Amino acid sequence: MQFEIDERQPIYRQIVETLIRQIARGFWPPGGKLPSIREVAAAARVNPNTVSRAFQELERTGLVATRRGEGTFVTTNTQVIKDYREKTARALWTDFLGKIRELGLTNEEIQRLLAELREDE
Amino acid sequence: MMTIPAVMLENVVKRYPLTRALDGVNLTIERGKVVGLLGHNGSGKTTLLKIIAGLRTPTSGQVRVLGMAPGLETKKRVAFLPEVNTFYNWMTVDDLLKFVKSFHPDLDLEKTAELKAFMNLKGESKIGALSKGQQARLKLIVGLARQADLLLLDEPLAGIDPPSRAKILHALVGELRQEGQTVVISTHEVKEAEPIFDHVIFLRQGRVALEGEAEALRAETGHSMEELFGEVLE
Repeated sequence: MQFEIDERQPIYRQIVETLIRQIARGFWPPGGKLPSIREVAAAARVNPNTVSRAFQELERTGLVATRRGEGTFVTTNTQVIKDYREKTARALWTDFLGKIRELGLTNEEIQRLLAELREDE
Repeated sequence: MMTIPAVMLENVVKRYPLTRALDGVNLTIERGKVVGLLGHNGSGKTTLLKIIAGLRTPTSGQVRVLGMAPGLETKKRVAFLPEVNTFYNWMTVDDLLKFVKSFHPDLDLEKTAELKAFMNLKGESKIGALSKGQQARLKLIVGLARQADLLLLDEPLAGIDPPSRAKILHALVGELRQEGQTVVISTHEVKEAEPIFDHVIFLRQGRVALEGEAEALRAETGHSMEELFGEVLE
């Protein structure tokens, strides 16, 4: 478990984003237990209050739920995880397409570039 | 329900014969927070901590600590760790802990054992033979083993080697802290300490130059506390 923290941005948001990415990727699988607040605080070397806030935020997404006295678990509803992954991917694409369009590229040119890039892979 | 703040200061002024150490400080510190008191040497950090600890009386202004005027009752519930070392060199570490226990009965001896192990200090070592860093660790043991509601640490990292600082700081707000304890840490080593602060107070020439929740300041300014320290206090 590793956290890269940039002190110029709110730390709790970075922890939320890291955990969401790890859940989307299956690093924390559906129904699996997340590390405790103290464990995350130790790994990220931040205040447990900050991690506690991140966990509250994470619960609001519906991706995890906390069971009293047991810990925080990833949802077993894989549809919620899929939806979240798509939502995040769509946001990335929208951002990316906006920047590409600013270069004045047409849809055809974008398609052609994408095809070329895929061949390179 | 409204909880009583750990500390409230209203227009606190502290004058010494030749200087004005505090020049109208207004502050509220909420219970359970880890607070960074940040400023250069001479900005008034130590005076502010001593006033909260009840070791100095302000020239004017109001002070409330855990809802009370500083006095005997608050002193039982507040632990203040001065930057200057006040230990007797001829004592051993264990002598000192017994000595402290005699006037602070709330000192938890079980916890001191755990802390000695964490800080790598032996009970039979003579204080005079300890390095500066080991003496700084000993001071932390004394402060952390008291069942204080409010812990005031004046430059606790001074003398401790850089690789140990992050580890000690982290333990300070993590496993070593009591549930719900409020901790105020004065420092000018902002880079290492900033990830542990809930709240920061920038002090300049006896006044609060800027204060707020660390996360809110990051979101508003896009700066780290270290960068703000440079901007606000230069």
